[in-house]
Amino acid sequence: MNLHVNLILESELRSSSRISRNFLVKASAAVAALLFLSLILVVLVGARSAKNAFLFAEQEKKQLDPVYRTVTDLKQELAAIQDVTNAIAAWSQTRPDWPGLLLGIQSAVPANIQLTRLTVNEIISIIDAAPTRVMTLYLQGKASGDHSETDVQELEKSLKEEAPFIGVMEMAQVKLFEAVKNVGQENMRIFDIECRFKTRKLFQPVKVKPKDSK
Amino acid sequence: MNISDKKVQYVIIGAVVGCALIFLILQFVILPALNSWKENSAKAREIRQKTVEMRGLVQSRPVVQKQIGEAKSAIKKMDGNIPLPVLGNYLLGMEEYIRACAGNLGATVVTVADNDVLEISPENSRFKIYRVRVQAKADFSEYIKLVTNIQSNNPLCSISGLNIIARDESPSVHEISFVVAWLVWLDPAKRPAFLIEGKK
Repeated sequence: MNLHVNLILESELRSSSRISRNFLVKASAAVAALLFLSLILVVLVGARSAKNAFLFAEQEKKQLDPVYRTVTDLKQELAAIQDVTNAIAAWSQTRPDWPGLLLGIQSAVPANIQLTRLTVNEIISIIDAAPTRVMTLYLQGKASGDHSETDVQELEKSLKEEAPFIGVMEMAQVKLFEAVKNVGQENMRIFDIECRFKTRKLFQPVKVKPKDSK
Repeated sequence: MNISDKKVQYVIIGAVVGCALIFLILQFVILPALNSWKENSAKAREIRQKTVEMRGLVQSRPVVQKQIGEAKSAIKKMDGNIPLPVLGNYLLGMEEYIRACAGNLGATVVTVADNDVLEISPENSRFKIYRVRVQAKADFSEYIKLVTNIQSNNPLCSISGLNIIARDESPSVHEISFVVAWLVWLDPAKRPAFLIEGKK
């Protein structure tokens, strides 16, 4: 009968491996501490360089600021001046060509029609938030002969579709067509034509707010 | 308690102290540094972007100055067509202009009188419309010539109302009442400074 007795205490046990468990634990702890210290170092250096970059960018902006403000002021001055030129140009460009239009009316009226009244009204109205020229034209006249009805219709058509009215006239409509009640003028007709021009927008300046560079 | 148990206790205490230390370092060193890194990087990026925009605008300075020069000379050119009041009176100059336009034409200007003053845009326009009513006698063709003169001699002068009534006693000569509108400064004293300086 064999009896195996182990006389070595537990604390006296040694590993048969070349690298002891104790060494492994210590080495791991040292590597972890080193990694942790490196992390701290990287973060601190990164934070410092980010702060330096921020200070440098701010300094650069500060240096550029006075010139930038000057150019911003110049831009505002330009906008204000351009508002003036645009307002003047818009007023001039939206002006109706009255000599041409009056010549057009003269040539559109047939020989058997006599105009008794010609009225033009122009108002400045705010339409779609912009000041706009709104113009109307009223014609009153007399037409004689058997074809007075078709002649008045022709005149109405000319005022809508012929040059110089085409493109500028929005509406032309006979509002009244009736016989003259005087004795001896049974063949005579009186008429009213109402015309509305296309509206013309004037320039609406934009309010410029002072811009802050910050 | 034997030695081994004591060692274990030291290890446990060490581990607890280490964890606490790591926590403190994380909480008071690493996280604030990371936040500051992130914040400063974002701010620097933002400022750099703004600086690039600012540089772009600064580089446009010669172009803006050139545009201002062009716009000013265009306004100076047109300013001659914008009437200024003489001792607060616009009508004198306008009447003179209309009579000069009638000149030797067959149109007779009977009267020129103030009609009204229109505001273009109550909020922010620098101009208003000054309108005068003219009574004239003319045949239609002569009247067209008068209108041509009025509109062509001043590109900012516009016919803004017209009433022609046929007269039975003289069918070729009509009673004509028409409104002439001028673009004028809302406040002549506050017109652009470079126009006032030019006149001094």
